[in-house]
Amino acid sequence: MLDTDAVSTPALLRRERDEALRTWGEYLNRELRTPNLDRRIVDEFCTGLYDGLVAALESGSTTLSDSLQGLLSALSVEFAERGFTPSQTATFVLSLKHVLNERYEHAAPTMTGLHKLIDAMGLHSMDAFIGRREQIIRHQSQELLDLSVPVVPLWEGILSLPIIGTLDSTRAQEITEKLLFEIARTGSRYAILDISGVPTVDTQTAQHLAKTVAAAKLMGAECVITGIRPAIAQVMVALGINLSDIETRFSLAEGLRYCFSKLNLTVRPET
Amino acid sequence: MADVHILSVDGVLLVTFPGVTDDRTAERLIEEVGSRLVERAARAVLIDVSNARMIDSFMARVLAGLAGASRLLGAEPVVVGMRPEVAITMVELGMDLGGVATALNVEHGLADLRARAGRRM
Repeated sequence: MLDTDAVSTPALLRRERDEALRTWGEYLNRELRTPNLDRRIVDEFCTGLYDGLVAALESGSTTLSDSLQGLLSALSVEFAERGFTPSQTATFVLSLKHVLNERYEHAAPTMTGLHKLIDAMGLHSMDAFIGRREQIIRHQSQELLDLSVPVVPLWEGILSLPIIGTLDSTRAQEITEKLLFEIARTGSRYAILDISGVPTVDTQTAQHLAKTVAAAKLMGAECVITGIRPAIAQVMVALGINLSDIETRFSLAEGLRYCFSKLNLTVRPET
Repeated sequence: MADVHILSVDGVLLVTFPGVTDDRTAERLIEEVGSRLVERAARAVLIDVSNARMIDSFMARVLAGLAGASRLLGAEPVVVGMRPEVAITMVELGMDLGGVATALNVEHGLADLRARAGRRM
């Protein structure tokens, strides 16, 4: 009797499709708690996954078909982009197992194939979900890199460049290029490089800074490095880094004061 | 010497550095600048390098030679108008101008010279 049940599983599932889908939809509605997820999208995914599952059972294959994989990827991408958690995504797929288990409790042993398939579907959706998340993270870090080179004009002829984060070769190159082009574009004589947002300064970072300053000097602009914290100054001295050719000041304000004095400008309180 | 121009303005020699240089052009450039310097008794030489889209080690040497010769003749050399990409390349290749004064453009160069002359007087 169990054997006949096993054979008839796909047929059974097909016959009770609408009823099962309704139960699944209700279950998801209850468990997922995602008010901003459109019911129609949920229904569409449910229907697609259910039909794909039944088709896979009928064909007797234990691997997921391309179309089913595609659907799962689409689902995971959708969930990742909407900011759902991995467990919500997993619940979506794996909950089909609970729903079917509840309905066909008596025939549970015959559903091994079904369980295997649903597990495979869950795993695939996880892979796709994480893949999409990683893509988003890579995209964001690139955007952050683009954003992190702000050259700000402080005064006529004075630019400031607050450097935030670690200064590696790629960023140093980008910063140098951006700064030099801004110097040429605005015709600025002075540039203040503020490194108070740089966590550590090693010999390489110092070399990058020195190169930037030297290139600006060749163009006819003078750079002032500001924001060297006491701890970093100690490290630099310990490493034997010598920036004595470069004008350095404690704070951005001091750097600005230096530039003002070079431009023969004074700031006075109103009397 | 197709693209070498030497102008004399207000006691300052303005030299346009050619975009490409060979041995002969370089030699004649330095000669020409030297004789004009003496002739006009110029107190400074502005070397405009904005035509040069790239500067290799040879051109950097010519530039340094030009600056050195000017200094020997009693005129202060100022290199003006270097492009950002040229500046980056020079630094990456470890070349420098040996302490020659620089300015963003001719206007800034002249203003700097005037300021320095004012301080001396």
